[in-house]
Amino acid sequence: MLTLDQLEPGETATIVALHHEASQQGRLLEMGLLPETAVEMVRRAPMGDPIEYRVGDYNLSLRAAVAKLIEIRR
Amino acid sequence: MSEDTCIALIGNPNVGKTTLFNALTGLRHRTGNFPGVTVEWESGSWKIGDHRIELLDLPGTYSLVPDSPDEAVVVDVLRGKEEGAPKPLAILAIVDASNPERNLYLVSQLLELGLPVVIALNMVDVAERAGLTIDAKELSRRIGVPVVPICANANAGLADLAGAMGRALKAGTPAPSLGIPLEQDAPDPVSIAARYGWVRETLSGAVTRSETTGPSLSDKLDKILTHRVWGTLVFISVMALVFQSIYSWANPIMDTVDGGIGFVADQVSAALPDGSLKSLLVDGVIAGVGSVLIFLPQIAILFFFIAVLEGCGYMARAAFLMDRLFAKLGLSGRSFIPLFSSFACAVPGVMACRTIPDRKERLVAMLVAPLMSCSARLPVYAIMIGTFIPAKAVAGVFNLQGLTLLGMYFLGFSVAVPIALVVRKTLVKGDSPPFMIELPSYKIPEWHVVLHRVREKSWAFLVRAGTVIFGVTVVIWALAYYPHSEETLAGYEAQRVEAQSAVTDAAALDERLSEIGQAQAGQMLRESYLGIAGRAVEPVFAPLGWDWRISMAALASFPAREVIIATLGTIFNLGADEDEASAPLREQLQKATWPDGTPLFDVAVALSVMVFFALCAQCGATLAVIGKESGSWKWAGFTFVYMTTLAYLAATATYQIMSRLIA
Repeated sequence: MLTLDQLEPGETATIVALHHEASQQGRLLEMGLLPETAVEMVRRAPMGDPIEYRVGDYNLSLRAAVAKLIEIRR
Repeated sequence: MSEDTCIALIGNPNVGKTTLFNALTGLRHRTGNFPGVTVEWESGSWKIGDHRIELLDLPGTYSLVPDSPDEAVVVDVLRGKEEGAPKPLAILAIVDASNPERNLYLVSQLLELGLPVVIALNMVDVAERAGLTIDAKELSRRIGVPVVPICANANAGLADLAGAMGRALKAGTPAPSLGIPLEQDAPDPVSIAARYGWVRETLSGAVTRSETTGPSLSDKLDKILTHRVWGTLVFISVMALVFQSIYSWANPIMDTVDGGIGFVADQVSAALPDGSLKSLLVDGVIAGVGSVLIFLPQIAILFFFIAVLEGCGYMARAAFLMDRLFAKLGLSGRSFIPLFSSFACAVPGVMACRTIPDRKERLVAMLVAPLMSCSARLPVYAIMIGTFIPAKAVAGVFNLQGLTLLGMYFLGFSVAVPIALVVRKTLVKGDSPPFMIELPSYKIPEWHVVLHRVREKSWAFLVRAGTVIFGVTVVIWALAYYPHSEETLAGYEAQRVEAQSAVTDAAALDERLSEIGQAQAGQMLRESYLGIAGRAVEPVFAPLGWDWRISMAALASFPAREVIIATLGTIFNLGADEDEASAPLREQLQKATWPDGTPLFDVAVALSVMVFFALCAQCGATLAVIGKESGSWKWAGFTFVYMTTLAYLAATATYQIMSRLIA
């Protein structure tokens, strides 16, 4: 399964599904991380984590552990 | 429409909401770039036509289904359930034109509240630079509520906004519902998808996108500021600059204030006859409150930096850079702001913990926040470092005094690490929250907001100096002055008479009289109520290298730690011969001796005092706010016990090790 944390800087992918527990999914969806949405990986933080993404018209940072549960396709 | 008419201003974080609030109401308060920096709502008066209505500024929020206590406030106010806040009759929704999709998601929820809604489409200039053009008329037609394009920071479009709101209030027609009811507790994926479906459909055709020319300025800045090497270097340099400037910028101003206070003391001293009134004013009020006032410049500089860093958007980057580190403590980058703010003052720091969505993380952050070296500790560090740490250059560029100061700040933080870990693993167990933080575009800080913040905090400090510190100072003075035994005084008077008849040489007589004066001052202090109590507790503090005077000053500082300077000022002033009574506290401390004549303070004692103050829970206000915010006094008690124990043990270790190293 291809997941969001595997993207390299500059790469764009489309979200397929979120595999988080129900309690954690809500806010991610509300922030615009919906299936069929395109997301671009911008960069990793200096210590490797979290990771900054471009979602729609804004930048959001997520921990790799959270991004790992977001299934994507290129 | 009347004075009682209330409108709620609501929007996502970082969309210029506070700027719009200031522009509409003229009420000045701070704006920040960090999600959720406006923790509490504020209200101001907004003039619409000939009427004035109340505008309520609510914390920035992404959704009406609350994710943190911060967001719960918003929902409570909107539903008229927040105590003390009026129930809004209409909603002013601010939408960032450069990020319409996620902003309209919140609007899609606001439409369900059954109130009239007016949309302020902010930052249309920024959006156009990013290649986004929004047809406000078309958007308004599609949503069914007025949409007014504005630029809050340029005061553009505000008259149109007032007009639209006036008409909406007069009509009183609720916004058309989408038929997607608000979730009661947890967000529902089906409803979220339906709302985003509506948002995308609404925007398609109303928004035109043109190709932009390359990356934005924010992107370019982030390439450097969040870079593995450069970003880390910049972060460390920024923090070092903050602390170095607190020390070096403030010094010339402090010397001036110091001189001014000495001048006032001399004038009062010359104008009044000897006696208890003169002693109260000179030794108590001027020496006590004056020695605290000196630190106003340093406090102003610290708050200046915090306001600038928040205002420009760097704070969110700091959270991004630091998250990995905080994750190791069971915290997240979200805790960076509350903890960094605690370097100014733990009270707003603990309150800022409300922006942390996870309950467990919030509690841990609150418990370690008082360990961050707050501005009230700065006076203690400043006087001890300035007096007893030599101003030697280290490695060419750094100064030993500045490094010691940095070290004291580092101490509090490094102790917080194991404490947070232990608390997270024992008292507050559970998984780390999912970290999610928006990285807003960089902005030039609004200078009037920054200056207002500095002024506000400096004033709060002055008020504290004028009330709490003044009160404690007078009490300490009285305890150190009375019983003021006539018998003892008569004894020294007899010695003076005897000296005057026995010693004929003028110079020798002066010297003898000065000796008698000093012995008298010291003896009177020892015989005072403070002296008696102090000597009783002296053995407890002996392992720290303290005499009874330092011990009493430290004990008197438990309600508010900055009192220490005032207390030391009063105690050492009363204990000094009158000729040098108006000398600065620094000189008094340098001259202070043990009964056997050896100097009271050396580097080891100074360090032990600083370490004690760095770690001790000497702040009633912080403990009260922890009790209130955590919902349990148990946690306030826990904080007091762990910090005080830690302070005592660490100060003992510092003195025992340093005194051996130096000797």
